[in-house]
Amino acid sequence: MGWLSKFLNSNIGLKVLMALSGMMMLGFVVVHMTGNLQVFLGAHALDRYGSFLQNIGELLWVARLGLVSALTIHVLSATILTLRSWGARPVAYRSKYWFAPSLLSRTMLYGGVAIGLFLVLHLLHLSPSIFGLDHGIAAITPGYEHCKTVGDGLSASLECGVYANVVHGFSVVWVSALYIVAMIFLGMHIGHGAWSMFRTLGLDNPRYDRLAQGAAVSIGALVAVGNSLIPISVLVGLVHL
Amino acid sequence: MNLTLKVWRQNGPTDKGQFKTYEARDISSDASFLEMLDIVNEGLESKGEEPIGFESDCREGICGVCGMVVNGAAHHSTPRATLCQVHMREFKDGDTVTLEPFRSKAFPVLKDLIVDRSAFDRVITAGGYISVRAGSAPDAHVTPIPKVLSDRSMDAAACIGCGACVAACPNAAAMLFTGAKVTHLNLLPQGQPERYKRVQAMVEQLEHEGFGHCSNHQECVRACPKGVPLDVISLMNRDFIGAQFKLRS
Repeated sequence: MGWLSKFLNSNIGLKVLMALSGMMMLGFVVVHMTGNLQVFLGAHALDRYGSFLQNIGELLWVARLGLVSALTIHVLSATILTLRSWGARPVAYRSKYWFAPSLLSRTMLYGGVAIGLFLVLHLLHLSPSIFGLDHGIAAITPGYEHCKTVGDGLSASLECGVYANVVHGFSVVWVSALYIVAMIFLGMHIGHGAWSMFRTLGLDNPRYDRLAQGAAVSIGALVAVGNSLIPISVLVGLVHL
Repeated sequence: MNLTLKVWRQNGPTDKGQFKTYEARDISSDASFLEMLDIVNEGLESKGEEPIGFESDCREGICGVCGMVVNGAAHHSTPRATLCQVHMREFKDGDTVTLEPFRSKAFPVLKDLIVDRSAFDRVITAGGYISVRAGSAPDAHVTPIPKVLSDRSMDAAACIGCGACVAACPNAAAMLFTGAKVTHLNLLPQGQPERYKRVQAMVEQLEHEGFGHCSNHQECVRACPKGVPLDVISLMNRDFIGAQFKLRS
């Protein structure tokens, strides 16, 4: 297995890990956004969706485990690569001319850190109680209500009032503002990452490289706008109880 | 024209080094950048001072020896040009010009603007060769090569190993250089016998030298005086990943 550790420890191997874990998380982000946009279909639709997710039982933990693994791998390899990159140029340039001044590629690190910090807020803000976060949730989401168990025995299931929690949660202006900023960072991160991952995996072709780059930026923009619509709609009163 | 030069001076590999300011007086706008430095050095020598150390050889953009970071850009910001191909007409009278060596852990500074690029030689030695039939020269066209492939291979082979990609890369990576050397041989029929062994060995050497990774900023491609395309990096990645499956030992 010496070859495997050698591969995974190489810069290219670490980038492959970043690309694959990033791909997984991108898939999640898109599905997560699509599901949450049901807020515009009304309370019933969103509550039904939230209850459905809570009732898939052990599969929910499979999904959570997958996501936590992907996040850990992504962050760990990014950290190792960044430290190596800093070490590769011990003396900085006095002046730096940017030939290809790409805002997207140059903000990957800051964006990644910002998204990581946002995740903490997001879990404290709207997640069902999975890590005993009740105090945190109560602090930033006044009126938050946990899912309730209805029925008993084999027919017991959870009923969640997701819609009301979303409206309560985004009525807090600073929270909504932070969400929107985080979504801009996420969109920019995807805008570079979703293209870069194909190059890392060697799956690109000059034929569709431009298309891939355009698609990455579009998906990033879609994620940023789509997700931001939810807090904005609550703030302007489009989505209300 | 007259210029103010801010030049990195460093006596040897262990010296700390610092910027020093020099005046370049009465420079013709037709002079090349290196000729301007020659004139400044003549002035320094006539005053009994140590001339500014920099490398050059062919001075026609072929050998890949010259190169330093001028105003933050490897080989200056002129597109598709080595530093020896840059002329003073690209500067304005009275400009202040900053001259720094290529900065990378893998390219230690030897003196002033001269860096040791032997790391590149070691990467080449690791796998930049092909097996050939020793004996009489083979007939031309004995091995058919599709035009598309030979073109792409030649695009990669245009690399002169100057190191501008490393200097320009925010991660000080040598992915464009190594990608060019790997791709140049791996695309051709002649390079097939060692294809996966080559990429494995060259990437391992690359890691060993302490270069950074690729974040697809594309600074290297724009800084490259020979226009080596970014594709060479993904082709190298593809073969390096492939090598993990193909190599048996």
